[in-house]
Amino acid sequence: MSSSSAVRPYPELSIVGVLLGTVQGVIMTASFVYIALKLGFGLGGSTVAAILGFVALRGVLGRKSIVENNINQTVASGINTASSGVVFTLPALMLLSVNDPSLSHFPIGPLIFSAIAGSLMGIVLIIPLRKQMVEFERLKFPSGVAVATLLKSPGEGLSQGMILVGGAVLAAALTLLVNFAVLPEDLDVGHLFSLPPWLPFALYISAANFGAGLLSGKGGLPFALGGILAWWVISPIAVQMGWVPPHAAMPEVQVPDWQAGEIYSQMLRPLGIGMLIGGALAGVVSAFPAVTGAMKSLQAAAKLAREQGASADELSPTVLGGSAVAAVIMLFLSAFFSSDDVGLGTAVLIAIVGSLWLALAGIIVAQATGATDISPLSGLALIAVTLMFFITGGNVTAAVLIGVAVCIATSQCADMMQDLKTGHLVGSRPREQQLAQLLLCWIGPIIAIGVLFLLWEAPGDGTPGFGPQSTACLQETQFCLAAPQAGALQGMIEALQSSDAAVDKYAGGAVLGGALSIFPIGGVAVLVGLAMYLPFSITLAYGFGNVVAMGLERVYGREFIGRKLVPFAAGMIVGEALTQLTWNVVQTGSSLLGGGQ
Amino acid sequence: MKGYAGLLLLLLGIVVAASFGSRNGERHIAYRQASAKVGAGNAVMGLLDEGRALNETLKSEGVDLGALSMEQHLALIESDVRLQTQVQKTTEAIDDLRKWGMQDGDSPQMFVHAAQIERDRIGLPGPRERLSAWFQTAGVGWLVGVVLIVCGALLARLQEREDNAGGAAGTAGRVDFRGTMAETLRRLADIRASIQDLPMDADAASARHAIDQLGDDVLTPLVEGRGQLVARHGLAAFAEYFGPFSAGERNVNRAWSALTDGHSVVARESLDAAVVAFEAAQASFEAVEARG
Repeated sequence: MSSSSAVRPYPELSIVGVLLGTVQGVIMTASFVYIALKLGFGLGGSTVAAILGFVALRGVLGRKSIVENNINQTVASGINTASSGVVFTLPALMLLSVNDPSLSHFPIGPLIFSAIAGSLMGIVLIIPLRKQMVEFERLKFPSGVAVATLLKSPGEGLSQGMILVGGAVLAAALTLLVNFAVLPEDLDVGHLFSLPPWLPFALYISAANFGAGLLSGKGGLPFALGGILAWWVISPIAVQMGWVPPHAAMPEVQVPDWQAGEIYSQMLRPLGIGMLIGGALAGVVSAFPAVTGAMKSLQAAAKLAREQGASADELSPTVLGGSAVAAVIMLFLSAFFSSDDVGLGTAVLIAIVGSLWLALAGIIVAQATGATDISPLSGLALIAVTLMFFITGGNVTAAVLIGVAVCIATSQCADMMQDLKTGHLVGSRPREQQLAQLLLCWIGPIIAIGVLFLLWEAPGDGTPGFGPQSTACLQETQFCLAAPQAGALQGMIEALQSSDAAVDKYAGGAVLGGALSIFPIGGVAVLVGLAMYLPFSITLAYGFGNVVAMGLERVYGREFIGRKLVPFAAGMIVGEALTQLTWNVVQTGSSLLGGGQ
Repeated sequence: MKGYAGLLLLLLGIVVAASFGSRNGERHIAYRQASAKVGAGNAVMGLLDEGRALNETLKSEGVDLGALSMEQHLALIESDVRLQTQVQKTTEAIDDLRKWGMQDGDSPQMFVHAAQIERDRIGLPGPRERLSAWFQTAGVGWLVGVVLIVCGALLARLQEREDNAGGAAGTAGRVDFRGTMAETLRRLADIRASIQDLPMDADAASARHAIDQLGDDVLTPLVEGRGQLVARHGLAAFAEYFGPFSAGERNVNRAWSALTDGHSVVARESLDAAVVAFEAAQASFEAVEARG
């Protein structure tokens, strides 16, 4: 080795990177909880954290290290995953307690314990699958690729930087046009041809969705094909065969809309959830040899590294196993202390079934996000709550508490794997990323739950809140937050209390998903199931991206895809995320100042 | 041929199994129909609530609708857009309820109450009943679809096995792991030599370009053709050598990042680590091949 100038360290898992990531993560978690309660959807933190990290680390502090910024965005987004996990589930319990005061005394300690257990377990369960998903299956993780493209932009040259910015500007323009209602959310082509709603032909106008389709290329086609089969073949068959008959008295004009709604909510969506479960289970079984092989090689590598006095590439199986056991014990304790009605046996059952479901749901979400960038979190949370509801004999408190853990865990799985994909592309050490996210996994749940409780009571005038006792909601001002996701889960729990669970579709779909997994294309069942679970406009627009990417590759070759299309598509994902975040902050700010809504 | 037949069977199977699989039992359908009727009534009730709230708002603005004559009332509706919209929406919704069968003289409350009674009389089937009703209604069709899927998937697997055994022209041996590793190590040696004396913070655009070329020309084609390796060796054996291969690839990416960041020392260390990993992959591949 020779060098003509002084050698400085190459920061990766540094105090500066971790601190910056933690600060960003805490701010994002608090603000995204608020935004999600107000608008009904959360935002991923990786892209925003990477850009802010770029400015702070490279721009302000002059720290030139791509891998350090990767750690910063890993930490920030890891902390932020708790916001969507908590907002989707816990407010439902709070809202249910309005009509059922017995639910209002749920214990805070077990709640926080359960949330941290979920956060911890999500990470330790998905890490052993890094090799399978990132290295062997080579899942695309479009947002992970977008963040990597962003991190690598200083070395990619001006032309690629311009392409990235071009994609981002186009995405920003498109997002603003939709937000200002100049363009509709869905471009309804079918309406022009008077197609009935059960034979839809609409494209979801989202640069990020289209960009994810571009990045996935041919690999995303089963997803688009699944949607096409569902809505252009199965849906018309169902209508023509008379499988969705309307009420005899229903006005004629309302029938097609009602039928489309029934086909989606009562037929395809629950069947899609079942297929996701069956596909993921079969995937676990078929990938078992590779995972055990990977675990053995991890152990061997760790042993070799110990002997050579170096650090291994990944966290050791002992650390992962120990953390998993700790998380299961934490889940057991939270279940046991969640309610007086939960006995020792039930708590053990909850911990075991909860952990198993959490692992499976985590794999489903990681695979779905890896292939399409879309997460079926809400459907999986519903199954988690359903399972716990039946195990506990209808104990809503215990069911939601474990639901919180599952939701956070599944979000963690997707986020960790996406960050590891980014890490692979920029050459980070997986161990550093895993360690950072593992050690700080307790922060997000505490911040998210704390902010949620603040917003629930919110006693002051002009203070935003969502609880019935919050001054904003008592006075019916614009500061009363809608909490739409929690309302949806509340509706689901009320449906469960009246035994409305689509067990037939879950079972039938699971077998179908298992059978599909025999086909020699990895993850095909998850992709087809996800297509049935999602609105068709999203699937179709995504498929349009796949076809455009395939066409461009055919005409201009593979190098064009790598050099031009990838930065452009990455720019589209980054541009929409940033524009939407700015939009939400401005909208929320103007509302707080009394000018909004 | 088997591949196309398999794909066709698979698609047909998905359509048949998912169509039948998504069917609902009769009682469930009847319950949903009755729920739609309740929903229509509830929509009108919601509009009436909105109307009452608007009434209160008008009162707070000094307008008491109850104290107005019919002419004044109509004139107010003409002049107030909020009232106009509310009256129009409510009238249309009540017309809808008439189409649903609400009798003249019945109130929306009575309509909703009757619809709720109809819905509750049907009752939602419990999980066990729902499962058995679904199987009775759709079980055979669903099963046929599942069988078609399995047959299609097995045919596709057979085709894949033949392709990888050299049965189909032009596909066998397309991925050359040995050759790829040799070429990778050769190019890495060149890149390593080119940055041997590179000082810290020096521009290394040519070395980065060489790494990009290595990825595009050599590593990516192997990654994209890895399915052939899985088919040839099985997933467990594939993992033995593809794991080290991926570690090598990651270290090459790390070298690229370090060169971008002007850290030539880490770039050299990363390239050295990449060489070790690729050599380990090569050795594991040979061991797997030797095992047959």
